[in-house]
Order: sequence, then C-alpha cells, then structure tokens
Amino acid sequence: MEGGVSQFALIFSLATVGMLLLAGFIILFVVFYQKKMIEEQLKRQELELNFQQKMMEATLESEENERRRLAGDLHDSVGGMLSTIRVGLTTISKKLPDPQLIEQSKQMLDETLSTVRRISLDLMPSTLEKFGLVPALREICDRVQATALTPINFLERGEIRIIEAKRALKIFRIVQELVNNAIKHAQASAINVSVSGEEQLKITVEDDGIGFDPKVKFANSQNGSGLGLYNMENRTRLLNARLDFDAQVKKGSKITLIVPYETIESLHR
Amino acid sequence: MTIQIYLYLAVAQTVLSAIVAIGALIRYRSRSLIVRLIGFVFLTSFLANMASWLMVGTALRIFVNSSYPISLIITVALYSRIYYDLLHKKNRGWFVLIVSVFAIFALINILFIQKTTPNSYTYLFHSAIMITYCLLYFYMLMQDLPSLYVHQLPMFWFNAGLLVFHAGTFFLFSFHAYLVNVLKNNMLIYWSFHNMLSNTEHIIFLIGLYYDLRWLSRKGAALPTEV
Repeated sequence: MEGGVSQFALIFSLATVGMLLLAGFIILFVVFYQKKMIEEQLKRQELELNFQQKMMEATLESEENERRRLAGDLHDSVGGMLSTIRVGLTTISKKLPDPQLIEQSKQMLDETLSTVRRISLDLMPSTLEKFGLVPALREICDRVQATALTPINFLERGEIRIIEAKRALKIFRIVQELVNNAIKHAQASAINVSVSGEEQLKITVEDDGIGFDPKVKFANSQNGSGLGLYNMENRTRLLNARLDFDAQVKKGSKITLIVPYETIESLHR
Repeated sequence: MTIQIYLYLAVAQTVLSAIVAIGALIRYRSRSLIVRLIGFVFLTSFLANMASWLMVGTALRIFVNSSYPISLIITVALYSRIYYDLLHKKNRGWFVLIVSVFAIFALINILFIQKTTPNSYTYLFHSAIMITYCLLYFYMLMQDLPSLYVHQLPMFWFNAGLLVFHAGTFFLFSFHAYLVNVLKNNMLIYWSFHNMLSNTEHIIFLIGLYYDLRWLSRKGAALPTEV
C-alpha cells in the first residue's frame, strides 16, 4: 500500500509539473511568436517604405530630367530660332522704307524671347548647377522681384555649406513652390526669404498675406487637390527634413524648411 | 509541511485577493470593463475567503467548504463575460450554456454529491473551463497579432496567471477525491501547494494591473480590448 501511495504521489507530481511546464511553454511560445511576427511586420513595413521612397525618388528624378530636357530645348532650340528671326527682322526693317511697320512685331518677339528664357530658367536654373543653392535662391527672388508686383527680400545669415546637387535641387524646388504659393495665393504685400545654416540649413519663407490653415491644406494634399504641397512633402521626406508651418489666418504665414546637415552630403564653402 | 505554513499561505491568498480587487477597481471610471470585472472576480474570491475564515470558529464551520463553490459560480459567470468580450463577442450561446451548466453542476454537487467536503469536481470543472478560455485567448492573440508587444497587455498577464494556476491544480482537483477517500492522504501538503499556486496567480495578476495602470497614467484612458 505504502509503495502504491508513493508511486501515485510520483505520478501526481510528474503530471502536475508537466502541466505547469506545458503552461509555461505555451506562454513563452505566445510571447516569442508574437515578438517574431511583429518584427517581421516591421521589417516588411520598412521594406515597403524603402520601396516607396525609391519610387518617389525615381519619379522626381525623371521629372527633373524631363524639365532639364525641356529647358535645354527651349533655350537652345526655340530661343536660338527666335533670336535668328529677330536678326532677320532687324535686317528686313533696315531695307523697308518705314521700319516702324515691323517694330511692333519686333517688340512681341522680344517679349516672347524673354518669356522663353524665363520658362527655361524656371524649369532648370543654371545658377543652381553652376554656383550652388544660395545664389540660385537669390536669383529666384530677384526674378520674382523683377516680374511680380510683390516686393521680395532675400536674407542670408551665417555660414551656409555647399550641398550636393541633387539634394540642392530638391531644396530649391521646395522654396520655389513656397515663393510661388505666396505670390499666387497669399495676397501678400511683402515676402521675406531668409537662409541660415550654422548647425542646420534653415530656409524661411514669410509673407504678410491672408495666411492659411495647414491642417486643411494637408487634408487637400492627401486627397490630391493640393499637388504642390504634396510634392513639397515628398521632397521634404526624401531630404529627411522638416517643414514647419507657422500659419496664422489673416496674419500671414511663416513656413520654415529645416534640413539637418547630417542628412545632406555637404562640404564647407 | 506544517499547518502554520498552510495558514500563512491561506492568509496571504486572502490579502492578495483584496489587493488585486483594489488594484482593479481604483480609478473605476477610467478602467476598461475587463479590468473592472477582474476586480469583481477577486472581490468575490476575497469575500469567499473571509466567509470561510469567519465560519471556522462557529457552528457554521461545516459549511466552510461551501462558500468557495458558490463563489466559483459568480467567478465563472464573470470570466465568461470577460472572455466573451475578448473573443470578439462571438458564440454568445456557448458562453451562456457554459455558465448555466457549470452553475447547475456546482449546485447539484454541493447539495447531493460532495456536499460539505471540498467540492473538487466543481473545482475541476472550473479549471477545465478556465484552461479552455486561456488557450482560446492565446490562440486568438496569435491570430490577431496585436499592435503592442503581448507582455504590455494586462490581459496577457491575467491569462498567463489563470493558465499557470489552473494547469498546476488540474491534477490536484482530478485526484482529490481519490487521494482523500482511497489513499487517505493528508491533504495539507496538496492544499498548501494549491495556495502557493494561487498566490503566484495573484502576483501575475498584479503585474497585469501594473501595466494597465501604467497605460492609464500615460494615455489617460483604458487600454482598448482590441490591442
């Protein structure tokens, strides 16, 4: 009887320990399985994000290549032909008894030529490729100042580093869009563009116009109606930068692009 | 194993039940339904323990073993409600059936079968139900893949505590009648082991409540059941 009892106690203990081990195994299995699944999910999300970023980059790059091609064609081909026509018109006007007859046509041709040059410059600013970001930004302000009614001030503060061409082009496009928006939509009487870059590149576009609600604008960009803002967001993301909207309705708007230097391959100027 | 150790463990169990109940019921309005129900489960357990303690020294001592099966009926009903919520509120009929069958079985057992002796068949039935619920919840957790790591989910800890306790005591309840009636074993060691496991379960529940309160203090609202 005693032997039977101890044998039973042994079986009972083993069964209980077995059940406890099984319970522990199930709990640990759930923890590790779920951990592994979450890690895999995160990895998949990261891959998807990388893929999307690469797609976005490729899209923007092909867009820039197309612009470059168009700018080249406009400047070299159309611009060249228009210049030749102008020379021809000047020659003809000298032979005419009354040169004033084609003066109006010559004026229209001059306007067309300057328009072609402006479009060409907007499409691909040669200053950016030749002299870098800051001169290109100054040029865009000067050109806007010359053509638009809104006064635009450009201010450079501190030491700005030279930025790699592709990244500089993205920054340039963002600022170009911000300035265009201020002119087109803000009803501003003055625009200030300031660039500073001691620890990080900081570009601020400020106007005294009607302002806007960034939340509404972002909602529009999500549903596709605000394409400019959407492109700005994409470019900002690709730069690992930040776009701060400090907008107050009816008191103008202040938008700051902050690009940390760590993320931009840069050299001291 | 002395009676003294057994009593210490039993007192600790009663105190821990009260602590878990308080931990689950404080900031009542901000807590999720599940945590509130957990609070009521442990309040029931605490009251059943207290009733037993109070009955020991009186003429009612023959009913000492009856307070637990009655508390188990309430506990099973509360846990069924919790797992019904956790398992996406599906198969309501099954949960109602389980609670009804358990309640009828517990009452029949208390009145006609094991009467005033420890109602081990009721405990065994209870353990079987709880192990099934725990396994279903873990299965669901693996299927649904919550957005948080499972160890941050209070319900994961509650479930782990329940699984450890009921898996550990399953064979104790299975062989209780045989051990007492046939082998005439001294049950003190077995019940001390039971109380030890029960205290472990309470401590695991307290970890779950810690995560719940941490979430509450960070987010200001109860953790959603879905995560």
